[in-house]
Amino acid sequence: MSLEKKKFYGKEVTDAIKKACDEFGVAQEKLDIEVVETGSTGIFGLIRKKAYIKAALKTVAVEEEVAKEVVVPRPQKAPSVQLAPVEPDEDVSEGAEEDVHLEDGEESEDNGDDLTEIAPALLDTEEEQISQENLDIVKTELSRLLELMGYPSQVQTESSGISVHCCIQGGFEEALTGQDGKTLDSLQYILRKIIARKIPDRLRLSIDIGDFRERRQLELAEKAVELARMVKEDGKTQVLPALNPSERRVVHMTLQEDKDIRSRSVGEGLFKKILIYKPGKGKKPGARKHHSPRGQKVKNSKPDAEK
Amino acid sequence: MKELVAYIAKSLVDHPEEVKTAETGEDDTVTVELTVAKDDLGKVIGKQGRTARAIRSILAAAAGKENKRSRLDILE
Repeated sequence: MSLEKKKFYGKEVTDAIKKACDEFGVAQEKLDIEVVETGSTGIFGLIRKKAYIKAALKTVAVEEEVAKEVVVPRPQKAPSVQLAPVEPDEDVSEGAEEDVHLEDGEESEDNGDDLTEIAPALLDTEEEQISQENLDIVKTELSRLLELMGYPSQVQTESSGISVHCCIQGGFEEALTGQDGKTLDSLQYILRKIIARKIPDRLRLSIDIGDFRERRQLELAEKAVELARMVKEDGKTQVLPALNPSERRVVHMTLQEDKDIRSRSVGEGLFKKILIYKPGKGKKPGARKHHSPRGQKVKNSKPDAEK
Repeated sequence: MKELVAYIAKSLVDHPEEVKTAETGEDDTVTVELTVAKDDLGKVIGKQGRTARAIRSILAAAAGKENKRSRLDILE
């Protein structure tokens, strides 16, 4: 890394990184970021510490950015973990992923999911198209996987912008969906990984079996509304079992409009539970430790709860 | 069964030629042992074991066709 690193400060690492992005006018993935101080909000607003990072443009990224600039001038992209572009150089992309991950851990409670939700909308506006050739690769890979699993099926692909949607048909729907879509999600995850290595272009991939996704969304929304009704009735907090990010999103979106109840995700990792509760009541005996008031418990050191 | 694991593993690693799989079965359990190059271990395991988990659930679905249970051992 020949470029000199600049210093950035911010309330949190996230802020500092954002400043760095603004300063360089590029996306976070293009920066080589070194976190010196993570910063802390302190206790009761005391002992505040600023986050402090050093950042420089990645050398590989510089060339790439210039090349891209000619085609579509875009000053800044929203940083996102899942949608980080696949870079030709494996090491570089790996590094970027770690940086983003680190930042995730330091984020305050509020903006946990925001980044990932805004990002797709921004990306949609880009005028990129997926070539037929790449579509065929996706189709072949998925068909191959299904065949090896012993469930040969028809795969249909359709694309719009940078997203590819695959639909599986052919008699093995139940086995391939798995419990609560577990197998389907695993397939989608593995396929994404395989495709990311085969196709250097960025693309968004989703797999569906029959109309499973749609059905599941409806089911979740119905369940959410039903639980919300119960919460309103007796004021007790209700819990939805661990869901993946996109499913959690459905639940939160469904309940967003309802001002009488709140929903939030709790837990660590990919799968989190969703609590549905009445706002403003503070700690309830029946609700256990889930939303204890600040400072009641020994400080919860992992701020990964989100709204 | 082992072809499935081998195919997935080969698609994910940097050294596909070093991917090896072995399959043993007894009664209703299929065990697939997967060996990859040392550098590639992380790639088949994934962040917090996510990739390994995904491979396991795909394997489980495939084994389910023969009403069998499955096991994936990633050997070092």
